[in-house]
Amino acid sequence: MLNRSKAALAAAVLALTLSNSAAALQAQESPWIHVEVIDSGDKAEKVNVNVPLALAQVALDALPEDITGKITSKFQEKGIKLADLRKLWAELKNSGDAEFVKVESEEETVRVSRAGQLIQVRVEDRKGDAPEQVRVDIPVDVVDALLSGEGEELNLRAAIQQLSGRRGDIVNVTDAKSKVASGSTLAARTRGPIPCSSVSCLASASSARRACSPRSR
Amino acid sequence: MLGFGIVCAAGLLAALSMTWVIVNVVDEDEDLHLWIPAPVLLAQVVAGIADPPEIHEKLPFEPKHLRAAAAAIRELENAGDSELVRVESKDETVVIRKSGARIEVEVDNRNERVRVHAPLRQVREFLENHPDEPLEPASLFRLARSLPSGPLVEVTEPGQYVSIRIW
Repeated sequence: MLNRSKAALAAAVLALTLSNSAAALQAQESPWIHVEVIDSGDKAEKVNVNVPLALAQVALDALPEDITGKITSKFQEKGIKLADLRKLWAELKNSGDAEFVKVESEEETVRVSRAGQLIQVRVEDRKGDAPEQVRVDIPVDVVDALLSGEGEELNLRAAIQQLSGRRGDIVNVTDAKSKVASGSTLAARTRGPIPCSSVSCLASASSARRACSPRSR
Repeated sequence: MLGFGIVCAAGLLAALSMTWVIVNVVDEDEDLHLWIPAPVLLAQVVAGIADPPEIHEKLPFEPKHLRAAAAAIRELENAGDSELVRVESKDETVVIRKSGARIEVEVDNRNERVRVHAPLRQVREFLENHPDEPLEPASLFRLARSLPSGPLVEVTEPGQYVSIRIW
């Protein structure tokens, strides 16, 4: 009888431990969006923003007109109709790996291509003394979801949903004022949360950065 | 005599069960040390009697933005502890992190050290419970009364220290 009670207790403890571990694992694996801006110019500033992707979904649910309206108006300003974009995408997405666009001039190179499941946009701007590089990697599924709306509206909600399954860089912008190491970098990527134990984060800024961001390096 | 004792004990019990805000100001240059404990309810009553127009000035937040803020706070409550924002420059470091049930804001520069400890649940519940009312300074008393014990704000400058704590 006693053994049976012990076994039941052990099973209950095991079940509780497993359920807690599963919850912890889920919290660890839930996607976050990380934005990192490094400006090594005169300001020498570093900015890191890390927020759960669910927060972006909440913002979209709460403020849909504000966000989608601004994006749509940007397209309209440039004379781009989403209906045309959808037709173009329907043709392109089944084409396999290919370079869709390449524009080369003395000052700028722009390339849009597909590599596997990614649409890659590469811009190299050599104008003036502050060359700029832009790298955008968008999964095909995300573009699909983004253009799955109707009329002149992008389906941001569906795109974010798709983004939640991705881990890695989305946007990377490098802007160097000279060939030396000074310049600014902006990167946005999805990944898990940056865990932060209260003890390690009370350490000095630089050591806390390392301690709190084991997965972001 | 017994009745007076009971009234005093009841009064003490009532005072202890209230939410108090404690303001602590230390100014070494002026050799000043102020320690002001006050029940939030008392401050609310005094403000209600004096009723200055300033406490009814509408704060510039639309209800839909407050609802979005409440939803965002709920997501943060569900998220694990994490560093949300870090801004490092030559002169200043600003860190915002989620730590347990609070958002901690730290600002450190050469002359100033600021710490803000904002409880998530109480702020979220306050926003959720008054979704369509215009927000005004007077309504913040309600929020203050619901806050848990602990430090809210600490500002340290050379020779000066100011803290606001809920008890």
